[in-house]
Amino acid sequence: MPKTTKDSDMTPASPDDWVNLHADALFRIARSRVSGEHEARDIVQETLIAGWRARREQPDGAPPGLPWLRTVLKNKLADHYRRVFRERGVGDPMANLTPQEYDHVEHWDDAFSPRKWKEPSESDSRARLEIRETLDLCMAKLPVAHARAFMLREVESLETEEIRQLTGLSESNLFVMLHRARSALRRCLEENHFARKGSNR
Amino acid sequence: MKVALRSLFVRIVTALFGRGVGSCMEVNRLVSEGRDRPLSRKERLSMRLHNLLCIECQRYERQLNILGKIACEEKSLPPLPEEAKRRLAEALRRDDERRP
Repeated sequence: MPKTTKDSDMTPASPDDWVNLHADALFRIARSRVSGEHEARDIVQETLIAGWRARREQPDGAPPGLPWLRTVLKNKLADHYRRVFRERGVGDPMANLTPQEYDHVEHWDDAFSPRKWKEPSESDSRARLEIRETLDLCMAKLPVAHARAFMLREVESLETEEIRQLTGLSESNLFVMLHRARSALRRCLEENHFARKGSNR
Repeated sequence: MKVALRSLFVRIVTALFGRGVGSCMEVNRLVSEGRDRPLSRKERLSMRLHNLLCIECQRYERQLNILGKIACEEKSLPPLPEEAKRRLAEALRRDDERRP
C-alpha cells in the first residue's frame, strides 16, 4: 500500500508505522514553539500516546490522523506554557528591554530609529530561514515570560484574555509586556540581521 | 542639529493638529496594541496622521508585521532520528501493555 497522509485509506498496523507517519510533522511544530529539544520530544511523545490510546475508543480501532494530533499537540503546548508561567512566574512585565529609544519630545532617537528593512520574498525560503534563526537567538535573550507571551499572541494567536488567564497580568500590563517584547525583538533583528545585510537609511 | 530640526518639526505638526497627532512613542504603543485589540477610531486616526509624516514609525509598523510573519514560519529541522522514533514506538507498546 502506498504511504499517504490521508487517514481514510491508511490504517497503520504497528506503532512503528504510525509513529513514522506523524512524528516528524509533530516534532517540527513542537520544536518551532518550545525552546528545548527535550521538551519538544516529550510533548510529541505525550501527544502520540494520547492518540494511540484514543484509537481504542474508535469502532474500527484506527489511530487518529494528523489533524487530530495537531489539535492535541496545540493543547499540550498550551499546558507547557502554563507550566512555564507557573514555575518561572511572569517576572517584571514592565522591565525595560531596550535602551531609551526616544528623545525628549518622544520622537525616535536618531541612534535607535528603525532603519529600512529589505524583506526577502516569500519564495526565498533560505533567506527567511536565516531571519527565523536570528529571531530564535533574539527570543532567547528576552525574559522567558516576555518571549512566551509574544509566542502565544503572535504565533498561537491566543486572545489576550486567554493570555491574561495564563499569566494573571492586568490588561494594561500585558499590552506593555507585548509591546516591549516586540520592540526588543524588532531592534534585535535589525541589529543582528538587517543592519548586516547592508541596509541603509 | 538634526535632532533640533526634528523636534521643531514635531512641535509644528503637534501645534497644527493639536493632540490628535501622538508622539512617536505614543504611536508605536498604538501600533503594537493594534495587534492585540481593536483600536478606537480616534486612536486609528492619530496613528494614520502621524504615520503620514513619519517614515520611522511607518517602518516600525511594517517591521512588526514582518516580525509576526517570520515568527509564525516553521524552522526547517532535521527529522527526528530513527532511534528517537523507535523509542516513541516502544513507549506506545509499553502503554498498550499497561492498559490491556
